[in-house]
Amino acid sequence: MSTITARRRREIAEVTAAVPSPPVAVRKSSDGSLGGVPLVAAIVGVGLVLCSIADSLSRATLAPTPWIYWAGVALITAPVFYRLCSPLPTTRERLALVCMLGLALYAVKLMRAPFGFTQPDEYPHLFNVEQILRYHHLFHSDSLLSITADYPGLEGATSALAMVTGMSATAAGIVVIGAARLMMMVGLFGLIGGISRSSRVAGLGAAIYAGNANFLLFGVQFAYESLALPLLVVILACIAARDRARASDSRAWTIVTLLCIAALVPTHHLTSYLLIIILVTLTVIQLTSKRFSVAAPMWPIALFTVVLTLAWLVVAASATVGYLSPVAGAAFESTLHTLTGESPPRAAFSGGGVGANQVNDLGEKVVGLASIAITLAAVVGGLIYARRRYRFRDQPLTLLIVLSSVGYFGATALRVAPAAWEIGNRLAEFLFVGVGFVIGSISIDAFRVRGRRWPVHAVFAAGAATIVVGGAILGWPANTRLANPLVVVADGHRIQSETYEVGRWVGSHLAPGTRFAAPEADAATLLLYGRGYVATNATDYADFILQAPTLQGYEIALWRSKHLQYAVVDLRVRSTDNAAGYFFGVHPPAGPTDELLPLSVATKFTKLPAPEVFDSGNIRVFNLQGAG
Amino acid sequence: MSRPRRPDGSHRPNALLGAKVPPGARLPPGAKVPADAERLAGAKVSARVKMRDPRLWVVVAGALLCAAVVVLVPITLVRALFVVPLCLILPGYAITAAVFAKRHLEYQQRLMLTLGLSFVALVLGSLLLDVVPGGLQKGSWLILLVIVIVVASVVGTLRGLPLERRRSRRWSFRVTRVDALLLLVGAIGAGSAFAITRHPRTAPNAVGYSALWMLPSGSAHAPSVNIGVISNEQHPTRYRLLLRMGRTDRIVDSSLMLRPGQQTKFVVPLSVSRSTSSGMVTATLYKDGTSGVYRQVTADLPARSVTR
Repeated sequence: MSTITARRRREIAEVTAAVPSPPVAVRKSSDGSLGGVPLVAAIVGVGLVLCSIADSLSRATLAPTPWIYWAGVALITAPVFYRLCSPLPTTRERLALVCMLGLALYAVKLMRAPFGFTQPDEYPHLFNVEQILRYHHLFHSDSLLSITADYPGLEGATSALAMVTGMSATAAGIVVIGAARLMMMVGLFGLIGGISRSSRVAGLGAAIYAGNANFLLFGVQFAYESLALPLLVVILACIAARDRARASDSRAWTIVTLLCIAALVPTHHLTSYLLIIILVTLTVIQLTSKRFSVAAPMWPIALFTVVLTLAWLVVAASATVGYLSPVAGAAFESTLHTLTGESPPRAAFSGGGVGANQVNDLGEKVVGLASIAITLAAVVGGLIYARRRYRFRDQPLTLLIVLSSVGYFGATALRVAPAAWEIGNRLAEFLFVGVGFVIGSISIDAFRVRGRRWPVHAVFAAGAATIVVGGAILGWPANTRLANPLVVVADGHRIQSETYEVGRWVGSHLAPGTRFAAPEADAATLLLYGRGYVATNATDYADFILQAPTLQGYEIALWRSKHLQYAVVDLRVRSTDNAAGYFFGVHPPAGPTDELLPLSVATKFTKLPAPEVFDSGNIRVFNLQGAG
Repeated sequence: MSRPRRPDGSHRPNALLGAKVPPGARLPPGAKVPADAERLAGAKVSARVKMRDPRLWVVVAGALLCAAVVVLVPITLVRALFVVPLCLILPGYAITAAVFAKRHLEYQQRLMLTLGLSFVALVLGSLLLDVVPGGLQKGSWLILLVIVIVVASVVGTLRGLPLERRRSRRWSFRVTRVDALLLLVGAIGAGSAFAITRHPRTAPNAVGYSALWMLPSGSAHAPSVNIGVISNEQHPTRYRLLLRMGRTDRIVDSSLMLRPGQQTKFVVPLSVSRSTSSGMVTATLYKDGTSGVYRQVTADLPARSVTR
């Protein structure tokens, strides 16, 4: 054995002290047994079956009670929380439980749409992947959501799997988002564990994050944010590890942080900008702290991120400003108007959609509100505890994450303003990391009670499950939480919805690149299956003309100036809802009958006359070429 | 507020995650230095030992095996089983080894970096391949991924492998029969959940529909129209299809029977017999049991193209 110098001995002493000597109970469960994982896995399996039954009944238009579904979600979440409350599990078991929770809830999303992607942002992203598979290059235009083509990180990664395996873009996307979800859970565990230095806090904090409103459905849709947010969490976890590492290790952590930032910037705009805000704030805190000289400097990472983001903005994604600024401006105005009483606040539980079916069960409303109340109470308690436990002055990242838990409620308040709803919803998704950390922090002292602990753990698990279920209720319109009929069996044969039929018909009979004016939902299938160029309300205010009962005379000339060749009229009001517009209409009791626009909305084109080339009852396609 | 203390006054260690105690911390009285503490502290390992360590060579061999399966096996499912590690695990693992060399990594940090850096390789790799001739292709992806894995593995091997804490080296599973049974229940639950949901259901309350379409075809001298009927009704349905040209109606099919999901197409030639002021042709679909016109579409043909 080589001679150990005094310095080396001191280093060894550091490392030896850093290796935790586990408590007796932990030792008992760290002998290679699987701890509570098998039992929790069995219960989670039952929860998944309940969710799939609820989805199948809903798809069969049998109007099941949503409580079958919520019971399934609760069965998936509550046992995980209960076990995580216990002091018995090892760090490995906690990590396994957290990953199981994340993946099981991802499975719930997959079971909702087993025949393909049906969430709004999934269509343009899937189209981008197919363009890459077709043309072997990035940055092909996407008429439905053009900004997505400028941030091809997700699509590039998905195309690798699709090309190398030969599997479909949809299947590759499912695998990629699943891996991103796994990365998210491991990253949260690493981040919260890194700043709290407790695997118990890490486990509970990461699991509590499942209570954010977007976790169940929106956060795992095939869209750029679903990859960018996990990357952001990994970056923050790397920064937390870097802050606590020795100088020699710090360099390695800096390298991986920069690599992850380099991947994040071409993946999603908003997440990049949020990272800049975080890093600049950390830099300012660090520079104003007395101890900043001993910590690894943050400014080089912040500078790298700013330069890279600006470079990407200028070179590849210059349309981002034009895309984001109207949204931010409208949100600001709407918030002001709501605050001053000039416009009414957005109704609670109205969802993000339009048309019929915006109905919530009374019990669902109660659970939704209860989740907010429980979260608020837990965060307040957690903040009091965190103030005693953590020395924020030395730990700027910890301070920032704790503050984000307060900011979460500010973001939630933004949901009251109609045009600020979406920004509040996205912000809350980021800020909920702080909520997870703060609530998880309670576990250190709150569970240290004399006598029987299981009632305390059971109460915590029930509260946490309520946060998750209530968050999901708050985060998605009631009419599309459960699976809707998209492909059903009739007389032993499969039939598909009108919206899908028109997309596939266009793909079979019209040339790729044909240009359409269409409502949002129809535009998505025209883009993906018809390979058409689409002008929608979001891009060209198309609904204003499509839904008008008469033509004023300028419309056809206007559309000709945009080289639009066909107009797609959809009489269903929900066709403008890019979450609910894809599915079959239903008869009661499966749901309310579709609300329809007046027939004159379609016949105004007949009078031009413009040839009507496709008619499926609710959807009509008019050829504008040569029309009067 | 100070951290909780043990009865002897020392700090109580948490289940730390890569935590570091302040410099100058001392070993508790009577504590022994672990046998591998020198390695944990970052002591150098001889180059000979490093080169013999098989882990990264296993990674290289795994990458080559995955690439070979992708090239040689035509079955998508089998390829997918090998491509997932090739794309989502091995690049990140190898890059982690190259960057961290002999430094300490907790297993959860390793897992996080393995996934995260694999995504980094895919995202940055796609940008790189976009600017090379040929762009993103199956072959170029395979070559890039194998190069990344091999180069990073070689660098990692030369620099020394990342070390894990002593406890994580003793990772072994002890699965009891009850554990196995419970895991089986969980797996069956998850599997049956997907099986239930993958199977399309009848939806008696879904509103069925039929679609009619018509597009001009043929040439100016021999014009024709393609007419299609698509049935997405809930039951087998009988239709009557008419074509109106000018003032003349022509029955295309008086008893067209379609099952749900079935569609049919007619190519109807139009003879050029006389000029007309309008070239508009109208196809009308009637459905049994429904009064009036069920669906109607039109086609605008050149003005001289009109049938008898």
